[in-house]
Amino acid sequence: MTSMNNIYLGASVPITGIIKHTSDEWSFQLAWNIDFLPGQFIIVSLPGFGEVPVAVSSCGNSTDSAEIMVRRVGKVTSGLFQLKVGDELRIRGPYGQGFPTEQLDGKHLLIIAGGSGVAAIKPLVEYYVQSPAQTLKELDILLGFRSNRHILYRKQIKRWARSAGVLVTVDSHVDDDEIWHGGIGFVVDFIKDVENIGSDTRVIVVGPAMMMNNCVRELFRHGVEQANIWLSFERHMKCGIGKCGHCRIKDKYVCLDGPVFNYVEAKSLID
Amino acid sequence: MKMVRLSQEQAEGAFSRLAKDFDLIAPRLIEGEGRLSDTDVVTYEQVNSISQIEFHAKTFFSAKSAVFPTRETMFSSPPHKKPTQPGISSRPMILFLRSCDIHALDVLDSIFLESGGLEDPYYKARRQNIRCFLLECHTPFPDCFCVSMGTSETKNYCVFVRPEEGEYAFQIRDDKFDKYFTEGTETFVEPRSPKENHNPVPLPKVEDIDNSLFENEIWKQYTDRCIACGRCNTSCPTCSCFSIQDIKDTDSSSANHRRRIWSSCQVKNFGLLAGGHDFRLAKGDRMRYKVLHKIRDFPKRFGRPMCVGCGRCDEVCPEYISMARCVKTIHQVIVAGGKR
Repeated sequence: MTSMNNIYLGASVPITGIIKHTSDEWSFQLAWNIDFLPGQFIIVSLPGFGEVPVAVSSCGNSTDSAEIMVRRVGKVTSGLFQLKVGDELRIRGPYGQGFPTEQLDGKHLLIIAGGSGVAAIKPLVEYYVQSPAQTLKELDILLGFRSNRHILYRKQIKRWARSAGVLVTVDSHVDDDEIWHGGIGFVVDFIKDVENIGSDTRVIVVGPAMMMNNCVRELFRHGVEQANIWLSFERHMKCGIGKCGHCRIKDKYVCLDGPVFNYVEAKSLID
Repeated sequence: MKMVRLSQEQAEGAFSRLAKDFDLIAPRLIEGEGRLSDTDVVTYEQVNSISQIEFHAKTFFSAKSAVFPTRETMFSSPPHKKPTQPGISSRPMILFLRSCDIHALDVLDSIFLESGGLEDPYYKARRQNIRCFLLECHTPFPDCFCVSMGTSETKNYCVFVRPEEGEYAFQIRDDKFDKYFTEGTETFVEPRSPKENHNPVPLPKVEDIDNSLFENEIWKQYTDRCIACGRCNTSCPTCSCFSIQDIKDTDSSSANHRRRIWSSCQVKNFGLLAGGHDFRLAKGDRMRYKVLHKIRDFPKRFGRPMCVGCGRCDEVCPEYISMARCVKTIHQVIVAGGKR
């Protein structure tokens, strides 16, 4: 067995930049030249610590670098937070099925994301706002964060607001110098404020399971059909290639058949 | 097809010729090593002589570790150097398997070589060295349900061997092995297989098992009884889930090791996410996850049952939980229109 054909080894890539959004949420820019689709994920490896699946958060159009957003929650991510620019990671992927862009063209797209889920939808938003050729009828974005101190991608969100309807909400507003113009409460409570939800509306929801459930129920109340909603699943994964079994739900592997699932399928995927 | 009957001495001669070219892995009775005191265990081990093979008992564990070791180092990363991979022996290996266990290899192939369209390099490196010799089950063992699962017969073997009154009959299907069996007298020998089991298990149709079964009370008894030891998974010839973990040496000058290790869907944390959220906290839900994988989810994806009916999980369970009984119950629930 040579290293050339070992699918578990991945490529070594240097970190070219680190953006510290909050104390526990950093973006790592990687010198990695590979094609990927919005919604796909990669497996990041740090020898001695382990591997984690992470959504690619940059747009697939930029060919010489990729970006991932990592929240410090476990052993591997804590290891990643000890790295600096110039250090190397190992990366394998991209894996999985991304967002169904071909089914969104010409439609009113509503993207709802919470917390680190915003990193997963970022490439999709940038796919639409950066490339004029990609045409949606309309783009609305609802983003929820725990508090105004937890907001990610402030700069990018401002840029998105030039060509999309964007509302940022926080579960609670921490009193500081910032004058808050966004919403206060859960994102689900702001779906009613999105205009023109109709038969032309397609919705992508990414976030914690509870948030996705609540949003889907609210979307039904506004007449959105099941087949017009997509969710992105987060599951325990070791291999990312349909072998290790951890992410399996019924006859689907989240790593192969997901992480993005249409709601018609997603609703039957009971762990 | 060559078929010969060899005396004990001639058979040992054939074996010593085989042992030069192959590692021979066969069921062997190990005295005093059973899980209770003063009991024996039958397990897969290397043999050098045909007299070491236990022909008449089922092994406690399957032979899957020959292709999928309990734990293995995937690669080591020395500081500031490229990762290195441990070599996997290219020496061919003969596994003496019963029909169900040969079918189990087919199931493992689906996962490690087909699933996701990528071949697992560690599995492939071992698998391509494997040759199967068939052991027959003239009469089924008490807990087997191979006939129900369609695994009681196979043609997927190189040589079939049967002990006969101090001698051995060999049927050599793969003529590459003819050269090892140069002595003896011509004979006729065909493997016999059970036509029915003591404990037949009606296999529900894949399309008849729907999510309504998830809410059925049949799973509750497993929540009460299962102790989440994972023995059913480790003894199963087709359970192939694994975890990947890194071993960091405390001495910073030595290499880190990434290894994989068998993983059990019956043990807690199988689905644990970073941040603490887990799935299937109730052991009954884990039983449902395992059993339906074997009889519904795997068949949907790969077109055959994942369970081969060897009955090992039933025999090793310390709580006497039975996969066979569970599948029968599912069948009854479906026949009764979802009620029980």
